[in-house]
Amino acid sequence: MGGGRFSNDAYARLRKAKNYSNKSREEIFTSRTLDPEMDPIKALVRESRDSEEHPESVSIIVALDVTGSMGFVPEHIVKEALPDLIGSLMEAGIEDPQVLFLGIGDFIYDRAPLQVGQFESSAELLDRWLTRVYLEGGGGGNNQEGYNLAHLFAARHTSIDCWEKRQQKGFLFTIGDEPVFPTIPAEIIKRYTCTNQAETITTEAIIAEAQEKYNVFHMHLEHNEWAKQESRKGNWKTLLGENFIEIPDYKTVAKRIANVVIENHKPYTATSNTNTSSDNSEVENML
Amino acid sequence: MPKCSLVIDLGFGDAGKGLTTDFLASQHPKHSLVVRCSGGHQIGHTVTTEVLTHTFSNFGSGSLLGVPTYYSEHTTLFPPAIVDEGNFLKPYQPKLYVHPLAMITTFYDIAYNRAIEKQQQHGSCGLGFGTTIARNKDEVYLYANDLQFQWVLQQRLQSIKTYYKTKLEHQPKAVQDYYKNELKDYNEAYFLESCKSLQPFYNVAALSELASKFEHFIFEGSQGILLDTQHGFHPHTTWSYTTSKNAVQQITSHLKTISEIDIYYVTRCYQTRHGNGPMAETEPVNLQNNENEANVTNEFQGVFRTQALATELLNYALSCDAIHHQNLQSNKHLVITCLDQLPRFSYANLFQKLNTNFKTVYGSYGPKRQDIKKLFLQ
Repeated sequence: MGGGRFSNDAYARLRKAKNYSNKSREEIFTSRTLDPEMDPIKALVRESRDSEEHPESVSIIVALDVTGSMGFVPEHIVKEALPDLIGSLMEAGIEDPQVLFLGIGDFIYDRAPLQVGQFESSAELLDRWLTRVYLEGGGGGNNQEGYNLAHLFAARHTSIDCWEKRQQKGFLFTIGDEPVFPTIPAEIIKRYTCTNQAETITTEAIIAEAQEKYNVFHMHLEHNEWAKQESRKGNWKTLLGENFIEIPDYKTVAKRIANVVIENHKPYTATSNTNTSSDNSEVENML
Repeated sequence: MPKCSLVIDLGFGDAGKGLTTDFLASQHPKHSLVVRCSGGHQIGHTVTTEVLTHTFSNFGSGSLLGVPTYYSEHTTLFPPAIVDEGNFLKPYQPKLYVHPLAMITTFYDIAYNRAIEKQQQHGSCGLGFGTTIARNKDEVYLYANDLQFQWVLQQRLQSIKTYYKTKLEHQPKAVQDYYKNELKDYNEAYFLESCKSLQPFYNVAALSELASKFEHFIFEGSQGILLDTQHGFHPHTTWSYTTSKNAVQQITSHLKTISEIDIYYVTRCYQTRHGNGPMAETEPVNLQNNENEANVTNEFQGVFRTQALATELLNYALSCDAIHHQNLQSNKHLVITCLDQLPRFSYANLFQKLNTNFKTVYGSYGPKRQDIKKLFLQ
């Protein structure tokens, strides 16, 4: 008898209410060092699995540049966009989204250039990882970020049922305002992931590896004059073609993620999935 | 002339009340009102359309058609969940009318429910429905009407907190600890805030005020007759009347102009039970085509059980329901759902064993209202 998912979720939320809207960025992001649970060195593999509650999971990785110049983006996502992201995906027919959050920094200058959450299917749980992220103080000033660590982690350290069971690719979004390093040196791979053996790999090659099981996108935020310059966009266009997306208004980033997933997610069976008929204007309204 | 339809579940719940309500609401959506006359926010009534499959808990199952919902004084509401589900359903502009004496569930009711259910395992969903009714029986109240007055609401919450504090003193330590742990992260300001933010979805009104505004009143029952507080099997019963008792009371006291009453008795073509308690002693069934099953194993209810339909239990449930509308003229209908899942089921055999005469019999062959067909006897 009964069960009441919405009632249960509301109860869970009531237990975890944090009253974000009245808090400053420092109060939300309380971590002042890398959270041990987000340490990639301990993350051999992050799994995104189907469950009875979520039988057709769709794995979505959101890798966010959390260095100084970008700190307001995670803040905005936690405060406003995130609760709607999962809801609007579900409303549009993606019933079982599972989102993994990665924090990305500069692997030359930063102390924690890769921070990894877990795949979560509710806003509350995802929020747990988002608010634990350690926001790096400054950028490196070298006009490059280690976004390719996200491709590396996705390619080699995730295991996702949507691909393994149903040949539906997951989604990987890197979000930032800088070009990407041309390679990942072997020592960086060894230092920041759970492996002792590694060879230097080019960004092209690691993206290709990630593309074997993910649709790979990069979102470039044009949040100031500096970020609008061509030199800040680097060679993303060459790397990703149409999957390089410029975002003039950073507040729309969660909505764009939802739209991209909805447009590109291939239904598993023609009969049970209705997401191809979804109306984008509905997503607009939700976010 | 206005008419009434009652949707009543003949089993332990999960029969297809959402589907049946949506089907009835689709006949005249503009002139219909769905009336929730038992149960509360713990229900899970699933409706499937071309674009969406949604399990309703806080809104009636006609909401996707734009049909508003009325919650009677026999029901419970949990404000934060209304806000959540209301926001999710925003594109459909869901609307609630609520009787001023509808009972409000608080965090304390849920925490206490969970703490004792962990010990007793009566089959509760862990959402505080039963504890809310029990608290009201003990005359510690919080009504829908009170939500409009912030100071009153705060005082009421304080009395509820005290009420459970006293109750807990007589409980084992494990219960006390569980309760305390649930309360650890609770933020009362957020509860008060969600009571306030209900406004877009919510009107306080009595059913008699709505009597002239609608032509079709669809009473969406909750749970099933076999879980009824009077007719179910202690201790695995719910704290509400799941027969047509409440609907009949509403009709006779508030809807005096009603000309026609139709009762739709709903059952799956096999026996189901979600939650602890006795189950029919019939043979197992092999289901097909049931990937869309909305019942999943959960922490408080456990696994979802299925077996062949027990005719004795159907006859029992029908006889129980008849007690509550003896003096009322009504047409009886039967809705047999999930026929696509059990190809060997013979409804002709079933009718021979039922002691009730039905005016119409419907069968559903899929999750949508379009999958409902009128069945004819051979």
